[in-house]
Amino acid sequence: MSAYITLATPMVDEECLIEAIVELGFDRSALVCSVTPIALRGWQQGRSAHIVLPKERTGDAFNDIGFLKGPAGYVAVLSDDHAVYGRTWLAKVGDRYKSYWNAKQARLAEADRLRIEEERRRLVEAQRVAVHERAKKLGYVVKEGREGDKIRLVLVKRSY
Amino acid sequence: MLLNLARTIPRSAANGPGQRFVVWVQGCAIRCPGCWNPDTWDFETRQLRDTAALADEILDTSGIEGVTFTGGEPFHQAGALVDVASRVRAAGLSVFVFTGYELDELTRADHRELLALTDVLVSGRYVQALRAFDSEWRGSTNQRVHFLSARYTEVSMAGSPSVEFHLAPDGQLAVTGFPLPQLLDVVPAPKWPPQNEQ
Repeated sequence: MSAYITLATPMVDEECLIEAIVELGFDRSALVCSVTPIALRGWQQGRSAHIVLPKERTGDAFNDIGFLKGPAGYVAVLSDDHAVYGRTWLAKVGDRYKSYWNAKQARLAEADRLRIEEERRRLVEAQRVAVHERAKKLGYVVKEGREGDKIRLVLVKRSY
Repeated sequence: MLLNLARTIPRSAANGPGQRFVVWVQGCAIRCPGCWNPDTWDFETRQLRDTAALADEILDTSGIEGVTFTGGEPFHQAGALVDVASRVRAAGLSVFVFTGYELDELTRADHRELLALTDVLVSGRYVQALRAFDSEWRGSTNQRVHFLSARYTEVSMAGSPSVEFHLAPDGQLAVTGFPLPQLLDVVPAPKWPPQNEQ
């Protein structure tokens, strides 16, 4: 099969992320949220997160699950092969997050919306530049085009 | 007739010859280790689409030369895809199918019906140890490209882009095709797949 991999679904809003996790069945009262990162249990190399799903509530004998906030949004710290809270679950969180995000956007005042839009534009531009740079370094020619409201970057291997 | 979908993209140059509408179906019993798209394995309903409506959407997309079925395993939903394929082929579009099955495993009547409507079939399990990056249209070198009609030949494969990025206005960055691993960490976060360090 050809790949379709979502590399980045920026989840920048804590409220929307929590609502997404809760909608998928996790008990809201069991979520641990912190302004500063909390150490996750069961992970080597000192993994930490701002939003933690304790292992006692996920059926995992070893690892807490968490979401660490970074410059490009929250990053999930989880085990790919977890029976429930694995890759498929994370994809669903991303889907639900988007719904909550869209609903919240609609509620926001115009000024706030414009500020957030500007942040979003900067993020998109940074990602576009990053793809160009990496592709060129790997020997690809990048053809850039538009597909509706999306930017499409087609990578063709240089033949010279 | 309904089709359980994972996603579609209206235009891609990295999923077969020319510009193509791409359909990722949901559900795969083969589940090759190291598969690019394990989120498409589960058979639970993800996005049910009426096949006639999907065909209309494909036909309303300008500037494409065909449709590509991938997944997931397209032949698990061969009957529904036959309906889509017959409608788009009647309008002159080509049909390209990725399957994890070998050609000689596709023996059911609905399999044969879909094969009869397919111009190019890429067949075979994905074998992680044989992973291919710039091998046109194949995820691993054991997979085979079958030209089932006269519409395309091996010449069609030459120079076909192997990777494509889609950058949405909300910042979502996705990659399709057959990307080098070094392209997957192009953005700092989130890395995918996350590493289990327990």
